[in-house]
Order: sequence, then C-alpha cells, then structure tokens
Amino acid sequence: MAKTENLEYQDGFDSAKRTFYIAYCNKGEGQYLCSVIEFEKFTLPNGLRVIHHYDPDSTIVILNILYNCGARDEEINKTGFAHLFEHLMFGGSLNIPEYDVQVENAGGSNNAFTCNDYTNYYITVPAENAETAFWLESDRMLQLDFSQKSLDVQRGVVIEEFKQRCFNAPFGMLWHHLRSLLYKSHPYQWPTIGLKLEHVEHATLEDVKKFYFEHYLPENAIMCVGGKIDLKETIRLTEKWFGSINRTGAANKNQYAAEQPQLEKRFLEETDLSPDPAVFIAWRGPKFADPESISLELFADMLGGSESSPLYLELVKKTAAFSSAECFYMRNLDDGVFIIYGILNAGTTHAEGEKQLMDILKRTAAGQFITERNLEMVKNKTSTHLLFEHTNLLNKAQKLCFFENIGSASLINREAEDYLRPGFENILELAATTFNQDHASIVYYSPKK
Amino acid sequence: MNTFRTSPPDIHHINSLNFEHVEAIVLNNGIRCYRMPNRELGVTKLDVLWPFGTREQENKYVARTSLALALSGTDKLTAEQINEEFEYQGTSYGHETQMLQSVLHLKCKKSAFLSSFSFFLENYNSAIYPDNEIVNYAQIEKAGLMRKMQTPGYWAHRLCFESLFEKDSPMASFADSSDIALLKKAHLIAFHEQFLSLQNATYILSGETGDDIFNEVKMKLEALPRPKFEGNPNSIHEDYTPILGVTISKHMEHSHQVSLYMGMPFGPISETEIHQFALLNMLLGGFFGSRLMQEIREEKGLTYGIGSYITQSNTGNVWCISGEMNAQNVDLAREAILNILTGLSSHPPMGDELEKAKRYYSGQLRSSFDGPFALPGKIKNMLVRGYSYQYYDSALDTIWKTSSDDLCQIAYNYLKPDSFNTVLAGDIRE
Repeated sequence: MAKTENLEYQDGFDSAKRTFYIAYCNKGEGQYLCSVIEFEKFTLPNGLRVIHHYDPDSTIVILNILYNCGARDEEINKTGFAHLFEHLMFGGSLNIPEYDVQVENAGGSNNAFTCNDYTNYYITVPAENAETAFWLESDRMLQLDFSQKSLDVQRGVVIEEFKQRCFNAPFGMLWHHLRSLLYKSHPYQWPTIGLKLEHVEHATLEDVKKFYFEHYLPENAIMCVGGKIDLKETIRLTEKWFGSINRTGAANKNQYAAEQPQLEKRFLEETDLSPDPAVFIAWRGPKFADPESISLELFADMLGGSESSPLYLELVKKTAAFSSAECFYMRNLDDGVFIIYGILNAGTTHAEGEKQLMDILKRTAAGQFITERNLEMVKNKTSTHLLFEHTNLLNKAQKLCFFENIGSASLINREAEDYLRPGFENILELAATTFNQDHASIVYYSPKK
Repeated sequence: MNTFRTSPPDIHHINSLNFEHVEAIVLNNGIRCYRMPNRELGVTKLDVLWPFGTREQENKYVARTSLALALSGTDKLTAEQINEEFEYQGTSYGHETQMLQSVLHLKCKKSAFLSSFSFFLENYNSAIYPDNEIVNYAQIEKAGLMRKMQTPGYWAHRLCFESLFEKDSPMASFADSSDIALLKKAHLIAFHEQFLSLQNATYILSGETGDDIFNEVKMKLEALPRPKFEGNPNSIHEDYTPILGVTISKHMEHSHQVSLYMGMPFGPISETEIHQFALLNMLLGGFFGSRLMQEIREEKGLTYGIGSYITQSNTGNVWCISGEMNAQNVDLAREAILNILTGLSSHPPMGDELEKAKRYYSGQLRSSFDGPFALPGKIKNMLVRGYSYQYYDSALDTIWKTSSDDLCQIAYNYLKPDSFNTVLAGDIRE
C-alpha cells in the first residue's frame, strides 16, 4: 500500500501500471482511506478530450463517451428529445448500418443513459477486440444515419417507455409534478423522459437532425478509454478513428435561464396508483460545484439515510404514522433538490404528515436528534462507498468523464476529501436556513379511486 | 467518406475465461470457506451464503424476514445500536433471499473488516427478533407489497407461475398481505436456528483478502459448532402436472399498458447442457440481437422491453418471455412471439446469426469475470446449483461447438409454443 503524507493530485500516468493506489487523506483529526485513480489526458485537434485509465487486472476495454447535452438543452415545446435521440444513436451510422450487430460480434455490450445535464454512452468489449469499440463510436460521432423508419420505431419504443415508467408505476409522475413546482424558468422543469407524450409523438426527422448537428460534436464530447489497453495504443486508435472527424460547431456553453429564489409555498394535489397516500416536500438547493451541496447531502444522510436515522426511527418506528419516510439531496450541475417524503399509514392525514415531516426536519436541523458522531458515521459510510465504487471499471470511466465535464477529471481524486470537509455546526446552520416551510414545494398524493 | 471505415477491424474469438485461482478450504469443523485472489483495494467484502431459501419455509415470508431481522436486536443491543456500530465503522450490510439461497454480505474498509466481522458474528448468533421489529417490518413490507400489486408486471408474473405450479409450491409462493400479518417470532427463530445458523453457511471473502484477514476469519469460524447439514440439500421435489397452453387475463383499472408474461416448465438439465440452452435462449430473447428484440421492438416498435430468460425451479426450469405493451399491440406481439417460437425449430439459427450469438455469449461470459467482486458470484452460483468447476471450464468449448442442429433439437424438444401459459395483465378492456 502506498502511503503519502500530503496528497497531490496530478494527471499523471503511473509507470508501475497499477489501477489506483490507496492513500490516507489527512483531514481534521482523523485519517481516512481514499483511493487515487490514475489517468492520462489528451485532446485531439478536433476538440475531443480523451482520458485514459489503465487497469492491468481487467480483461476488457471500456469506451465511455459523455456528450455535454441533456434534457436541459431542449426547448420547452420539444421535450424528451435528448432521450429520444439516445435511442436513435443505436439505429446505425454513416458507414455502419447495424451498430448493435457489430458490438455483439465483438462479444461486447453497450448502453446509454440520459439525464438532465448530459448524455452518456458506453461500450464494453473483450480487450482483444478493443478496436471495434473505437470504430463504432467514432462512426456515430462522424455522422448518424437518419432514417424515417428508425425514428418511427424508436418513437414507438419511447412512448411505451414513457407509459411504463410514468403511468404504470406508483409515483411514476412524481418528477413531472415536483419539477413543475420547483422550476419556473430553468429547463429542469421537465424530466428527461419529456414533459408530454405529444412532444415525442410529434418529433420529426428535421428536429432530431438539428439536435444531432448542434450537440454531437467532438468538442462537445469527453471520452474515457479504460481497462486493459495501454496509453500508446489508446492514442494510436483514438487518432486513427476519431482524428479525422472534422465536424465543427460551437461547444455547449451551458447557459440556461436562471431561477428566481422561491419565496412562496407551491402546492399540488394529485391522485396516484399508490394504494397509500403520500406527502413530498422539496426545496431547490446549491449547484454541484458549490461545496454546500455536499453539506446538504450529508445532512440528508444523517436525517434519513439509514434505519438508525431520526426520520425512520421517529416517524416510521415510533409513531407508525408512515410506512416509509426518506430524504435525499439530488446534486445537479445547476440547482439541486432536497426532498423529504413519507408514505402515510391509515389514519394519518396529508396535513398531519406534512406537519410531522417538517417538524422532524426542523428539529434535526436544530441538532435535536444528531451529534458529531452521526456526521462521522455518514462520512465513514461515504468513504467506504467511494472506495467500492472505484473498484468498478465502468464507474471509474463514467466518473472521470463526469468530472472532466465539470472542470477537471482530477476532481475524482478530491471527491472523498470533499465529503470529509464540512463541519457539523456549519451543516446545521445551512440546514436551518434552507428548510423554510413557507418556501417549500409540496405534493400530496391520494390513491386513485 | 473514409473507405477504411466501411470494413470492421479484425475480431478475435474469445477462447478463455479469466477464472483466477480461488482458495477453497474446509475447516476442522466442516465449515467451507473461499478466498478470492488478494487485491490491494482498501476494501474487503464477505458473502455469507446459505443454500436455503423460500423453498424451505413453511410459512410465506419467513425465510426472507428471518434473514432481514437477524441483525435487529439481541439481549444487549437494540437494532439501532447494531446499525449505528456498523455505520460508525463505515460498514454496510445487505441481504437477499431467493428460492434456493440466502445471502448476507458485509462491505467494509479493510481496516474495519475484522472488527465488523466479529461484531456481525456476535450479534447474528444472539438474534432475538424483538416484537417491535417484527411489527415494524411487517408494516413496511405490507405497504411495499400493496404498491407492487398496482403494477401489471407483478400480476403477469405471479399469475403465470401460479398457473404452472401447485398452490403451495415454492415456485408459486407469492405472499399476500394476510401472510405478512401472520409472521410469528417463533417461526423466525426456528428458521434461523434450523437453516440460517452461522455454522450452516459458506463464507466467501473478496477484495483485500491477505493472510492477516483470512487467518482471523478461519480462527473465528473454527470456533463455531459443526454444520447441521453437509453439502447441498436439494431434497425437496414435487410431482405436479399443470394444465398448459392456457391464457389468463387480469384487467387493472388504471393501467395504460398490458404486461404479457409467458411461461413453460421443463425438466432438469445437466451443467454442460445449460450453456446450449442459454445460447438458444439468447437467440430467442436474451440479447439485443435476439429474434424477439429485433422483430418486436426494433422492427415493429411494439414494446419498450421484450425478452426471454430461463429461471430455475425446484424441480427443473421455466422458460419465460415477458414484455409490456400498448393494449392495441398485444395481438400483434403475441402472434409474432408464437411465430418466433415455432421458427426456432423450423428455421433454426445458423450462419451469421448463430456465429454472432456465440461471439456475444462468449464475450459476455468473459466480461462477467471482470473486476475484484465478480468471482464470488460465480462461486455462489456453483454452490447453490451444485455445479462443479466444469460448468465454467467447459463453457466456451460447449458454446463454440454447438451446432445449428443441436439448437434445433433443443427447440423442437423443449420450446413448444402450445405449452406456454400466457398471462395478460393491465389494460384488458375485453
């Protein structure tokens, strides 16, 4: 085990060729284990940023590509496009009519996900067949093969996905409802699946072409090549397959309408498939890059992150007013969201449920149920979680791209330390000023009759 | 256009798996222990595996609850105190109960592993199943079950398996809220003592597994009494002949889709045959390039997801097909599925189609060994199903040697479209 006294993060390639090493982060009075992930970075003349992460123990190679465009880059009357487009990316490209056939022939697998902030594609192949992944990904960056048939089919698929996720599952419309309350200007007001089914139903070939040519550019992408492939080979294959892509355009500046502070209570009452009523309360919070977003995440973890936290003990176990009660802070690149919610047992009204959730939130923010030890517990849990996360090649590749997108891939090696930094008193102070009931967004759900 | 882009790079066959050496030992008292290769990761994981699950329970929900509440209190510590101690050490634990197995895992920093392991042994063995924890658990489970019952997918799966197996069979052992209400402390303790005792488990260590850790684990386990059961106790059989080829419909008022589920039981197969069955299943609906996925989703856009899989029953296996779709698409999808099933023996996969599936299967099998925590899953699979190392050692050879005729024969013998029971749940207006 390598041990360093003062960690210095460098984008350097380790000649010892180890995946990562374990070091001690010195923070405050304690010492915590954290892993240091090593990588190399280079940029092609066309703007494509590439991160290389070598893992000699692996037998596979992963290409993870993050495109800096997500649902927040859609227009309000054409939502769900980033996600629909993600489906179309598997419909074939200029020189390769059947993307999946080639992945499968190479013994690989692939998938993608779309979120509000970006879209992420990944392909995993046995190390022997690494070049196939470069060939495939570069061709769909070069130019997608747009066809009316592909659009028609994928539109049908996405419509079924919309119904399955939103209409056929308890609380399936939650994000539609909450986002519509929380965001009035920013495109976070709709979920990635889209605001309305009609937007997907009415998507035209021209719409999707416009989206592609605007956003799917080398300079708007970050690629991580991870696994059993060395740097030299990575550079060779990247230059061979991606170097000749000359599509130009403007990189996404990620400028969106700013939200005004919410100074009033916003409220919605809906029916839902859930057989039990429920109350959801939410506030907007700081952006990912703001250290206070970590403080709120740690607070949420202390309040409701486990079966020994006050939310569960007080509301589910002691009073039996709720069958479940949870909270979390969702860190977004723009404003994040703090959510606390409870599913009510028979005999508890919505108003009572809201009162109890607010009460526990305020008392915890006032330090009533938690101590420094609780903070130590959640920090310990988080540092273990991050260590486990860094044992997974795909997780590492995705996180390296994510951090590069927000500034520098090297932030991955500061993450554990960032979680150790907030102090107990500062967290409570922040919580006390954040959770104003008069400025909350609240949704009541009642069972459909 | 760059002409070099039109031809794919050379593709290599996958002919070996990365099955690293696993140290397996039987302790003096008969307890089995496995150590995965040591990796300097800073973390250690322990899987505690019992080859017992819902198959052994006499009352529904007992196997699952017995494991879920095994760390929920002793004479000395409450559930909260136990949780807090684990959390303070940065250790998380999880559990899973299936028909043939129960697994509890501890995920720790290496530095906290030995203290977490000792704490686990001490408290697991002294479980008292406090009444308030049982009441609380039952209430949460009941609410969760009621929500699950609002989804068409739940009912399609449940009704299909209930149609294929006898009422009290573990395969049709779907609980209702009334079953949860009947949970009794005595049943939980009895199940814990009879099946889920520490000495009945197999221990699988992965991540940082140096001698300091492994020796301590062995020492502590050797202090336990001898196991009550030796080997895999696959002794429960049932003799039941279901009515096959039936269609069951369940209308659900607020549903916007139909969940379609088809199932057909078939007998046990050997560990070497499994890969051929898996290959055929892959071609049917086991990957993106499968006939079901290509025809029903990619060609016709009828569903978001459609797929097939083989699930192990207590007496054999069940071939399943499932998907969710618009009500108007159900007839088209059903017709297409039946055509595809028939086509597997009349137009068996060959040429590029078969080659692609073999390449995909072998690549996926290799990838499934990747990462420091992949091997425990393989070991668990072998232990629970009673397979030897041959299961993996011969896998690639079996896959590459499988011919179109082999698959045609399996399809002809086993995949009988008329023998599938079909359930349609959700937006069934007629």
